[in-house]
Amino acid sequence: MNLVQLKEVMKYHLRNFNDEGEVINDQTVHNKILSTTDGFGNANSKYVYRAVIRWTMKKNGHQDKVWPADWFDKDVSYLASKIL
Amino acid sequence: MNKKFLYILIAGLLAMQFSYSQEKPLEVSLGSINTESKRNAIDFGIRYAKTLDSLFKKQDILLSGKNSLFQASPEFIVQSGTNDAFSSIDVKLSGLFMLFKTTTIDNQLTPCTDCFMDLLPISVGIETNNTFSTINGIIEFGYVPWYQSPMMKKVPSWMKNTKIGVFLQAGYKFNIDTTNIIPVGGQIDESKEAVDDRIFRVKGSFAIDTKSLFEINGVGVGLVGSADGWYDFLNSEVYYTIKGAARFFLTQNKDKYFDLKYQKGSGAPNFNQGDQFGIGLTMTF
Repeated sequence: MNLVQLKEVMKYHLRNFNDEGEVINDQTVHNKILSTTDGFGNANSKYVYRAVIRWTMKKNGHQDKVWPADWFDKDVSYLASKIL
Repeated sequence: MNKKFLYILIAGLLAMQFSYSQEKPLEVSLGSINTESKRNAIDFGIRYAKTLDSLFKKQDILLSGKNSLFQASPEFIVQSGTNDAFSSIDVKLSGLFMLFKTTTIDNQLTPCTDCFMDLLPISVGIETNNTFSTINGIIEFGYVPWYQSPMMKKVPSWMKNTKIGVFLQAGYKFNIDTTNIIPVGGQIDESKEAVDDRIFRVKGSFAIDTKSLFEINGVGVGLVGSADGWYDFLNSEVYYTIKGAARFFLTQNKDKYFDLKYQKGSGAPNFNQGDQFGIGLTMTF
């Protein structure tokens, strides 16, 4: 998986959580799309997004790196560059 | 120290500490309410959920199966207030087990999040009240269907604003009261669950959040409601709580809002069946 592929996967999942009608691109900030209040407990879009990206990394042969603490306030490009 | 000031001090310290964290997982609310005994009171709520790796700088647990995964993190929820305001404190270590189909995006295998997914929350924790008269140790298993994806064409759009869940709860109710303070109004423990005895109940939850339905002078207005019902197997008793609010969003990104709210029933652990209403401001950090 390269950087472009990881960003495409991230944008695919963000589109599927995007009930706000925001534009999804490399500059989309996660906190504009994801939320901790759209589910019960940790069954929410922020938590699920993080889990599915980590699953994708592992299943496609990459190291499951620690996510930066500020990822939620950063965009797709920033997060992809930190966890690949 | 006056109890009221102690609450405000604790809430303030928590808010200060957590507001410096960068993941902004904190929701703090402060309001004025009319309690079950028709007294005015200050109420506050704190909801804090943060992943283990951002707390401890180590990657948290992730178990990945062929069409499943499991991830765990802590959660902290407080509802409390002065006088006889409803109070409940939940502290949990929660895990989420997910079942899903897979798809391929740019030649990379990934979970299909525009398909129906099964989410199974699992948690271990405690529930108590603000007098800490009892502590319930609880293990909870749940089922939450995920059908809210905007890409799911077969689900009616209004339904995507709802969420449902079913949870099986088992545990033990510990009596730790040494104060002998007699609670009043909304603080009375009306649960049939006996102290120093087992707990075994099923909980059903339904919630709706319309987000911003319309705007008045640039202020988004929406409706929020939730209903939780419990069946206590050991005492053949039913408990419930219903919450409703008209929500006025103060910012475009909806991280600050003002609620006109009503609540019938306190929920666990007291299961008090009184009601309270009021106004409150909520901010997320």
